[in-house]
Amino acid sequence: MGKIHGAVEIDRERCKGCDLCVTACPTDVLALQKAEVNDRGYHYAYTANPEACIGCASCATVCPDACFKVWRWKD
Amino acid sequence: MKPENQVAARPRLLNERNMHYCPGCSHGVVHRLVAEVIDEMGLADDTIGVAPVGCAVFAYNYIDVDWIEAAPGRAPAVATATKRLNPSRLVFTYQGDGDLSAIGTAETIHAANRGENITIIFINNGIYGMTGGQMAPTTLEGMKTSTTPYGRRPDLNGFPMKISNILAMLEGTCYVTRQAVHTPASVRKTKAAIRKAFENSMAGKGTSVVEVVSTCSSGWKMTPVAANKWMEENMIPYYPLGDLKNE
Amino acid sequence: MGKEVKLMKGNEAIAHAAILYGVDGYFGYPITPQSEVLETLEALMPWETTGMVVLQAESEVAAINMVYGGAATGKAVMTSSSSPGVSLKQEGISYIAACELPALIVNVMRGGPGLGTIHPSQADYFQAVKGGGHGDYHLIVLSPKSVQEMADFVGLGFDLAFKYRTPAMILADGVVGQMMEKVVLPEQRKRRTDAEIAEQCPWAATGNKRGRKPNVVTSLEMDSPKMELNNIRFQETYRRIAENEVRYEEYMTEDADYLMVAFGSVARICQKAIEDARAQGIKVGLLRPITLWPFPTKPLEALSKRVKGVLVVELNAGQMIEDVKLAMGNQIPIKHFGRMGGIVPNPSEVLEALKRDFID
Repeated sequence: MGKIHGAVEIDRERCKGCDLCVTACPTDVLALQKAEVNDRGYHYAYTANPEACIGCASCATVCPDACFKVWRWKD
Repeated sequence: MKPENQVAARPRLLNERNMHYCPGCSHGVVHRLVAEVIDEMGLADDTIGVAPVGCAVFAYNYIDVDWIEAAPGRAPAVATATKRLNPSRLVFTYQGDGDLSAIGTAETIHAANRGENITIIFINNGIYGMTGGQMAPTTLEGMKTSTTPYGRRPDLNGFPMKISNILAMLEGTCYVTRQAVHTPASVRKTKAAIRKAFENSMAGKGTSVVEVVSTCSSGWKMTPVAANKWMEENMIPYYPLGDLKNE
Repeated sequence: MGKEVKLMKGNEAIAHAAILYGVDGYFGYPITPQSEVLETLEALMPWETTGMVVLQAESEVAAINMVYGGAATGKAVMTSSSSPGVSLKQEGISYIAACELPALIVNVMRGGPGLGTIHPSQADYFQAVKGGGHGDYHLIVLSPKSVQEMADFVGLGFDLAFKYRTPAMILADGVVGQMMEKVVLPEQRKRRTDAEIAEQCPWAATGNKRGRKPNVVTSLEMDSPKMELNNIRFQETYRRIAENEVRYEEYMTEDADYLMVAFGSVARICQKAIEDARAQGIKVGLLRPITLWPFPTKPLEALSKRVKGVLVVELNAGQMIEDVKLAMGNQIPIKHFGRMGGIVPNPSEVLEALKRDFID
């Protein structure tokens, strides 16, 4: 049985740092930047723990600004 | 990362403009779902949206279909003529609770009662967002707003209105459902509801109403995460999710 | 072969003319004295013949917003009402004007203010020609004096509305709406096809987006410099209309010492008063504005050099007289004779007023 892998790409300039994706992620992949902000002044989301991603797209599903691209594959 | 493995992307009909909504606003999710469903149904070149007055007044700036911007509350009347004169098109309105259940109550009820072949997407966040957080007909008892600073009192302000329940009673509606977009599962259900509603409109089955119980973190003065929690604990018990009518 | 002459009410003529012009949609609400427009359309069932949509709305507010929704897709759409109902429509009319949409609104005026009376009046002149709703805009306002003109102005109103992309209004008094006269109706025209609409109205939100960018019909512009440019564009349209579309009729003005100015049914009362005056040796003429906006300012200005006095006759307390004074200046006396509350004067009253003001 292959292991499930996932990857996300975040449009950081579009992100408003609402934190909903961080809360929705079941494997704690995401976090908000604590200090750094994007051009619009938001503490944007980033993949703090990318190896844990299972590509479930929960982040993309709840994101109000359609910031996410998500991939999912098996070994 | 191979293209065949991609499972989520920005929908084609949602254009590149950054939406003006506050961080965490439910409107953004519903906009994305509308854009996805229109494209998945192959209706990108056959749709006319009717925008409300309220925070979603600029919906037409984000979803790349034809749009008509209605006066406050009048979207169902506008959509009535738009659909009757262009029966082959998908015609939907996108309205908030102030627009739909206060100033536009008559237009909403009568369009639904005539069974106009339109879809009404109804964002219920219990407050006027755009004008600065005033009381809406849907504001919960005790809920503080800028015009009920000590909380909504039924003896002064009446009771929170369940307008979808009223619409479900009308012969003209074929599908009335109440959904939410605060969890991945609820977002998927809302998308399925929008799909069903649009299919009804194209099949000429009558008026479909998709209420989305939503948050307004700015109006409620909470973080988006706290607003979702507050909605689950307070809004959804009063506005329970699920189909009110499905014929 | 002469054309077929029919006998009908002015309101009925509006309905027949709408179908024959190839109007796509009519949205109305009952109110006296114009309900025959909706009733006639429902009886004629044009959806079976031309495909025209006819709908009784839940209110005048809904009806005008239906007109907005239809006009935004490039269709030829109209509504009709009477004074209290037209007050309710002002919101929608402002939006239609602001979105630069063609549409036709018919007001068969009754006496106000408030519920007033169901009897004839011209008290909505200010509302019709000065804007009515909020913001800087004008309607093209056509004033029929006969059942024939009720029929003719449907086509004229739509032609002008589409030419300038701006709403037009037929401002009729209750007399013209209710009276029965002979009328020759126009030939049946075909409704425009969707392809013709797409070609003639490239701005329309038809929903048929193939090969073009989305069309958005909106009156909202948060960027003030852009909103000012929008207003400048509207004003330029109004300037072109004022330059090209003034319509009026003169009657016995060539040798007139005195001038009457009246619109709608009152102009016909004045014609009779003028005949009676001339029989008594008083040389009176009439100028009847057909377009109340744009107003026939230039012909009135020219007449101000030739006549000794002007009597403006209206079914109101004195509204059009303000525009007559703006046109004719203050070198000659300009008086008003008006009846209100649904009273229509007879010719002898009008002649008495003229003699009282200028002769006796």
